[in-house]
Amino acid sequence: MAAWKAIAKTELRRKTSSFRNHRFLLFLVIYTILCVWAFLFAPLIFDLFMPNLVTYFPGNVFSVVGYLIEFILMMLFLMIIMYPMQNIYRKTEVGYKEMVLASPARPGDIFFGEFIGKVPIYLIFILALAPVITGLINPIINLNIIQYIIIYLCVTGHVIFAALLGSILVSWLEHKIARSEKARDLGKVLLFLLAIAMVAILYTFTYLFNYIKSNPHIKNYLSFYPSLWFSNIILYTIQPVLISSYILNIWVSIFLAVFIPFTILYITFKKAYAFFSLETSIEKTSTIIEKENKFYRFIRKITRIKWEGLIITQLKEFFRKRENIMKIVYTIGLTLFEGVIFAFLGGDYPNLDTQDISLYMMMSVMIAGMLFSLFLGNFIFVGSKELIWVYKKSPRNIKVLIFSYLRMIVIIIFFIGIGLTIFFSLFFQYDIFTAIFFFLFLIIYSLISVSQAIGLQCINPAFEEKGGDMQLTIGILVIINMATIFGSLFLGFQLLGNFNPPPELIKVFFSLPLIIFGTLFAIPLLFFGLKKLNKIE
Amino acid sequence: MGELTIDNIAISTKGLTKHFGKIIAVNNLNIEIDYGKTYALLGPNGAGKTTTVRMLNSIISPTSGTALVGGYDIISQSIEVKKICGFLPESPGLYQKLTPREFLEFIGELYSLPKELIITRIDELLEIFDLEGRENDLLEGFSRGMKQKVCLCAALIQDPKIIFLDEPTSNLDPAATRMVKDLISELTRKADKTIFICTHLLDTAEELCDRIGIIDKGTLKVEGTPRKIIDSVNAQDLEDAYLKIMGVTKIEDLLAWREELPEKAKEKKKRKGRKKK
Repeated sequence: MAAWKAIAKTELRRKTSSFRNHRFLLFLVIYTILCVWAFLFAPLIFDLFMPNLVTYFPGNVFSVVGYLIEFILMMLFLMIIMYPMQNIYRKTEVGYKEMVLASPARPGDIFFGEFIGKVPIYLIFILALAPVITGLINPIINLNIIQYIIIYLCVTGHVIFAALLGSILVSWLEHKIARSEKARDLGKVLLFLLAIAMVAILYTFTYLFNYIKSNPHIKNYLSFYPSLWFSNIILYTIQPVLISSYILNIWVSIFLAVFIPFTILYITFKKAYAFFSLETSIEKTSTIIEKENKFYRFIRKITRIKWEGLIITQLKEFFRKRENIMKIVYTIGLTLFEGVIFAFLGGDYPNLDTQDISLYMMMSVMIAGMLFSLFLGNFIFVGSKELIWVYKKSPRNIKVLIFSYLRMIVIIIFFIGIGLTIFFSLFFQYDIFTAIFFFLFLIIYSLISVSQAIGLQCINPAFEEKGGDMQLTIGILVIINMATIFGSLFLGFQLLGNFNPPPELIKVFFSLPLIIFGTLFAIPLLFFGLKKLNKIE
Repeated sequence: MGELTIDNIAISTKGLTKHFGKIIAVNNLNIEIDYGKTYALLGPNGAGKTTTVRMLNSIISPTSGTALVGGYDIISQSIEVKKICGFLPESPGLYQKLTPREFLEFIGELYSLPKELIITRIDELLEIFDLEGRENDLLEGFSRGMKQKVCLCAALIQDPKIIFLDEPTSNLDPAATRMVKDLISELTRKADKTIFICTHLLDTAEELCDRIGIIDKGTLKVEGTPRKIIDSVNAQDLEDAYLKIMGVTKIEDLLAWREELPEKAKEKKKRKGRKKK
């Protein structure tokens, strides 16, 4: 067997180790369920509220949907490329990598094998989330099965190609950092710069997109941007006239969407040694902490004696991991970014009415909550397999781990919440009461979301960032969040239609369902999670 | 199930059994250890040593049977058991981004020790374990041996009556190993501590322990003083006795795998299968 095949197989085995005796059955069941979801249930669910949402977008509905698809794919492409960057500076699993390196496998085999091993997992996420795109289109034109298949194939190619480019980019950065003492020493500063660059690029795209909306001919200069190749195929499938203004016709788009990814994949396989190495010995051998910094001393003052030391322990462990700083910047950046996107896509910014502001507020809080749960709550057990026994051995038992971690997250969310509130208050011109409402809503919903993640982690702890357990939890969390947001949107619009509330109460009509739905998931998950964790052996 | 009594016994197990699904990790374990004594549980990898220690520390619950540790029931009085026991796990569970001082402060807080006491004890333990000067370095930069020392400090910080040490010297250099051995004997002689050691190192067990138990596949095979065990199988020393009790790999089999052809191996497997039937 070729080395890359063995590595791909092992990668998949590692990711599905919890189901080691039933792997085939696992994939069969998951793919069957997801196909039923993607082709049957999702369109039905989206049909329920999509017509309501469409009324928010002015102008020709076809062109609005066209823009939306182009924009979603553009952003998705960029985000997928950037997503792996949050893992830079993360320690690799040295033991396993050393064994692979000691074998005759070449860097190309390792890179290619690891990437291919992840593809079945990517497919699960694609089938779970791609119905959002078909859901946008289906209420306007009734899609047939061929159109569904073409759209899903395009999204699959698009996501996998972006993931490939992201992996190459991150490997190259790690490769460079490993070889440069300066880059290693820069540490946190470099991470901040990278994170800021990422957010800046995302914002540039948002503004660029608005510019493109009024100057469509600009798109021809962006023909090199891969998401356009895929979105062109989707647009052609819906209505051929939608791509008539492009240099790229359907055949060129198809050619580029097929030829370029496979060529890059082939070159990657052959030339991986130029950008891929496992010499990421980027952690310094020794870091000396002379004095506790002012932030920790301040936290000591404001927390109760019983919890003080435990919360400080969690905070230090969290903030001294450089990748966590990246996660925080990423969370803040994406939340701000999504809020801005919603406002611009609405079309009327800055002249928004109360209903718009309430809807965007709800969407921003939902995104923030989801990101907090994915990036903070979900990582509660990463790297602490042995530490669980330390807590279990102590008289205060393992629940102190959960509650000290939750308290730490309250502190982090509190500070981030202040920043987000200030930004959105200025951006949406909130009055003081709305700003306070937003702050409280953000804190409460973020904690609910984080509790969902912690509950899930307690039920099925993921001790490794890369493992199958982690991906399973991420998948479930995304599904829970999707269910919460769509349920809340549906309920919010229904309540709004039936009760016709005064303007100052509209935000409550949107936020309350989100909190109720979130809590309905969070309390049982946390309750059963704690019970399960108590019994962990 | 009979009642267990306290008296002078530090650890007493009665029919202690643990199953993980179909696997029997510990089977009907009955041992008694007096206060102030050192006991070693020996056995190959996967014999059930760590599971026994985890049950005795109330970290996991037994499938059946029970045990008293320091007079407290490991099931119904788990908090009291945890308060009086110190535990050094086999693999060091540490927050890598904390310094030894910060980590020991955290452990002290988990045991609800007064702050002043935590600080004094940390200073003393760091000095004993020769970690002075490194107390402000992050643990991620420590070698395995140094991490082991920090874990030993953590096991001792609340001054426990009973100390469980799972492979206490496995990662240590010779000087540190000597120091830990001396510490163990001092703790039992002068501080009247009860020490329960799990180890593969037979010389350590022979040198330090008053009583030894040999466990294999979850079942206690032999128990007694080192001398008694050696005499029981007419061995020269504990290593010899251990190998006799556990069975030894034949020297001629050690390199047989190099010469064996796939067909021959298959035949051998078949023959073994037939024999089993």
